[in-house]
Amino acid sequence: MKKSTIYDRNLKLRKEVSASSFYFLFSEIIQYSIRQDIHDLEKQLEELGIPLGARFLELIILREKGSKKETTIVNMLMLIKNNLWPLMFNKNNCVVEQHMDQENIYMIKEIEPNMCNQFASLPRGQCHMNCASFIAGIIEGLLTAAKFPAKVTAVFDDGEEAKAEEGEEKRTVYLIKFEDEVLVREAKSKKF
Amino acid sequence: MHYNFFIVNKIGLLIYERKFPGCAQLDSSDLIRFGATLSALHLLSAVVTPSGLKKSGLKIISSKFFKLCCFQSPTGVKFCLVSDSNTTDMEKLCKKAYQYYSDYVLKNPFYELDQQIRFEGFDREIEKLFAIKQ
Repeated sequence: MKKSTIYDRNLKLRKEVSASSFYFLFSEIIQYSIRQDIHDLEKQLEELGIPLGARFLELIILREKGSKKETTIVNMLMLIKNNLWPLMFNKNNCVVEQHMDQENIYMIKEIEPNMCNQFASLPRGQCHMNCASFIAGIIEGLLTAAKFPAKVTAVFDDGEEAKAEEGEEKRTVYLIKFEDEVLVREAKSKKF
Repeated sequence: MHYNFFIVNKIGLLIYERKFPGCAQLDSSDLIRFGATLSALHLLSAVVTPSGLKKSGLKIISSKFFKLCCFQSPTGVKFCLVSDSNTTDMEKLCKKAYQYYSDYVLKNPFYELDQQIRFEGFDREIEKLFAIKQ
């Protein structure tokens, strides 16, 4: 009778964590950051997310991409949309768009309000800090580790579609601003 | 038809109150007194229940004009709903409100324990909960 050891199990684990444990842990992370420095909450959350992004990249490429590298901006963003989002949230509910005027800014828009902001609402009357900066940090870490240096910020969606749902929570838009070297590289590779 | 909804913390302070349309507004000193009286009554009723019966504390006060239902969580937080006398299922509503409390209030990093609850998300869910049942 051969007992199955941990080495026999499939590498591709699909474990789910309860949402409540995430919320409690995240709430404590925010409280810790506030104690450190109340005005820089978003920046601290981003800095926490950056190392996570690098690790996510390794995990996704190993598990799902068969260790192949992505070289174009569009493919990289598709990797984020199709692989990172289901890995983090178990749902594929975001839209990738390019900014109308500026070539180097891309946007990832959420379809539903995201879990970081769901229960973390400031008391009425205080300015809105976006706790999804944590996820913006993860995206930034992932892009930087994949050699697409960029700056990612999380802002609330103030567009026309968002106004229709006054009473609901606001959705977040992640603005991804790529550095010039990425665009130069893209242009050069398109020439061939 | 619901008149009022209150949340009283374990030391007797009123931490949340909600008035529904059709009810007169109580002034703030009345509200504070209400919170303290309710928690005192709840404790006393547990003490004076005859021995042999389960001591659970005040649950329902019903009269010709109103019905008051009080649900106490295992942590001592009391959820109290005041409606008219022919409302049923009040305890279920209070339990649902307890669920929303544990979500929108306790998981909120900006909430200090045992303080007043002033959050949009919680207000919105409570409104939705009691509006549907009317």
